[in-house]
Amino acid sequence: MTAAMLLVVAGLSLGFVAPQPATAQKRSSQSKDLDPGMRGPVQGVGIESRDLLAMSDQMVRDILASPQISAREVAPRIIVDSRYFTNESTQRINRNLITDRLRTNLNRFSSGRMIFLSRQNAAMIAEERALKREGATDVGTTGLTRAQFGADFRMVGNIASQDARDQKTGTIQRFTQITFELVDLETGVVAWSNIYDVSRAATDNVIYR
Amino acid sequence: MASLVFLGGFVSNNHVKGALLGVSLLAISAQAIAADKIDQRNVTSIPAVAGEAYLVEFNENQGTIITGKKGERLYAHSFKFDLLKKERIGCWAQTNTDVRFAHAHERPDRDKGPRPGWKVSSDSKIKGKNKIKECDFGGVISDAGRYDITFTAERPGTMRVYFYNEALKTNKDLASVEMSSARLVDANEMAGLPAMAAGMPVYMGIMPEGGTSWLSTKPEKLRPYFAALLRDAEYNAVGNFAKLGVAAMAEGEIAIAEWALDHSLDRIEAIYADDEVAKAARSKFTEESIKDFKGDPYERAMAYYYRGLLYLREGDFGNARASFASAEYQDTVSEAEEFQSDFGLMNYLAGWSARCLGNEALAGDAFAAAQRMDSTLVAPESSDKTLIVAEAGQGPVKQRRGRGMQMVGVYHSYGFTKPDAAPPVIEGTDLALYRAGDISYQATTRGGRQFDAIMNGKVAYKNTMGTLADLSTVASIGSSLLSDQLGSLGGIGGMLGMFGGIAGNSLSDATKASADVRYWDSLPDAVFVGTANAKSIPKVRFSPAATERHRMVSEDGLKCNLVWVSDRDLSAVAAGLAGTPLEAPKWREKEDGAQARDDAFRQNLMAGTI
Repeated sequence: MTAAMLLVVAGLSLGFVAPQPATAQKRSSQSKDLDPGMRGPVQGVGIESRDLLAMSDQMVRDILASPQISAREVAPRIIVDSRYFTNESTQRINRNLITDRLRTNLNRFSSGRMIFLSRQNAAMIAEERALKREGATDVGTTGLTRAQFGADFRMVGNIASQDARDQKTGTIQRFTQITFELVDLETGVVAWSNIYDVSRAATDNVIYR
Repeated sequence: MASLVFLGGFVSNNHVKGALLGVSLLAISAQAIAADKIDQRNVTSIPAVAGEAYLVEFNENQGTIITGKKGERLYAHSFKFDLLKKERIGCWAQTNTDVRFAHAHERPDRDKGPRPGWKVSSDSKIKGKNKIKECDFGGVISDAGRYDITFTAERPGTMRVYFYNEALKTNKDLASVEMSSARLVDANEMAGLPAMAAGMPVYMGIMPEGGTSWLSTKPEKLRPYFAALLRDAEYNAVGNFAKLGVAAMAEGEIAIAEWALDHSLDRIEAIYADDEVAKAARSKFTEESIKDFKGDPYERAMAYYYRGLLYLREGDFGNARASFASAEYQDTVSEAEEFQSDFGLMNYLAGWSARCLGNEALAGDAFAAAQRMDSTLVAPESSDKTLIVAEAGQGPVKQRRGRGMQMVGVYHSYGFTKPDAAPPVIEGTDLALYRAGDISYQATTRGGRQFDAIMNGKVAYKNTMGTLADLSTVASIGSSLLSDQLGSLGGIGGMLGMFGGIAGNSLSDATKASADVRYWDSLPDAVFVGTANAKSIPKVRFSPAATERHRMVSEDGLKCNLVWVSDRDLSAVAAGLAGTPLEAPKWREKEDGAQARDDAFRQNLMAGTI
């Protein structure tokens, strides 16, 4: 045990950090742009960005193809947000990633066949409506309405998963099921539904098992 | 006594009577002599750990032995160890009173000698001149089992003793340093306690250029943790992010806590299948500690636990449930886990989250699972809207052990919460919390069964030491090869055949198979839970003298509320990951993959893109 190491040991209670030689050369990688629709460098067994894109595209196409929703005489009013989108899986998920993308793409591609209501911003809308009626602001360019629009349908959904593990090989497998439903807010009828499944397996390096 | 009774038995012939009397008297005296030769021990063995130093006092209260041989009454202390085959424990002692010491091996088959059930060595002496002298266990341990070393003194005095693994090169100077901070131990308080250890020191890499000015933008109390992230980069990122997250929670820096714990968990969840550094860590010529730290199952579970608490705080009950469910799942992610998870706390918290989510079916399943593991974990009343989570004590520590330091020993820390400790209570009420989580227990068991060491990620039990002990020799050749190839090579014979025998010292000298003992040292030991129907909860009292150091409460207006408290000063825990080797920065520098990742991490951290 050298004297230097003794000093290190003795100084531990003071939070002493042993001096180290400077690194000779930096070998780093610049941040790079990735295609969110492709597998990224960081992988696991849960839902990834490519799943969110694929799922959203599939649901949008399916809703647009559903005559009960997209071929109505009067464009239905639909709420798509995360409030009734539950996560019962073992993966932490930002549900807004799913519902925001759905709402945006549906709004873009429905060409007016559907109207989307921003119910999560109801308080913001109420505040502006109050300002107009109090005379604090003018009435804007679209005029006043009696009330905020009521909705005809609301998107609800659930994310669930099932995990399994092979004790011998350490392989972990996760099946994730994401359910989407458009619920008639007057009758309770499920007017449209679809499921997106992901099943993925991976084996971590043996050093981590 | 049987002999005395026999004297009154049936005899009719005088000769026979006389012979029988003689035999009986012989039996009585033999028995009496045998009883006289057995030591009368009034000693509580102190559970000891190699790497620790102890300060003890020889007096009437601490322990005495009346020797069977000479009838001497001596003051005594005994230190007990559970050792593995081929371990070699040495010790140094310094005393101001003459002592004798002898080591012993528990052998239930032995009924002779001064200590039946033990094989005792002959004793040695240390003069009471306060000089540091060697004491030992008599060399390499031949059989796994319980060992102790007993020190006796004729006169009162004090003694410092330092035990160490002889795989470490040590000398009087180091022993002196260790003994100067020896812990005063009262043997009477040791009965029934597990072996405890102080744990490992912390070493960190250097601060990168620009780091100091970047740190000045961070909250003052959290700067040491941000500094640790910069210094150790990806190498210890899982642990350093987790420690930062908990310290930030304690300081009320919730956004930082969420950010830090998310990054810790992202790395825990990432699969390192083709990672070059992980491959290198499996090589027999590279230290295992070179790999990025991911933590043991109990540490990963606790990272999810803390993230789950933060989700509860903001009312995101779905993600809270996902976190606690993942924590419970992590507890089963260990080799050959034959049993279901036994982390009832996580099931309980998942149940609470599911109930808050409005899913009584999921909640019921989770509460039932929790109660199966611990019958005191009953589902809360449906009218209870506030969950109280109270953390106490200091969590487990790790140390290297084994002949080649190739095994991980997990021990209770000195700050652990004793099993019979009174639970915390809510001030002004009679509401006592339940002890739902025992982190040291989780760390030292697999499926409820206590193990003795971890080697190559596999736990070792004492009663299988016969096999593992042979592996411990082979492990000095190639720790990684064991886990991959042992099965296909037909066990130890195959391994030996592959290397043409293990006598070659040159091969074993060239290998570096010392275990990775990094660990998260700011974990609690015990987690208590309780529920109430009030939103506002008074202070939590952990003991008659101690109260909460930190408190976090949930946002207003939620369906369910959370009150989290801790009895430890979490932001005072030293930053960095305990058990990080001194040489780690040098090792990482030599591995291109590791160095590139570390550099990128530092760049991105300072640029704000992490």
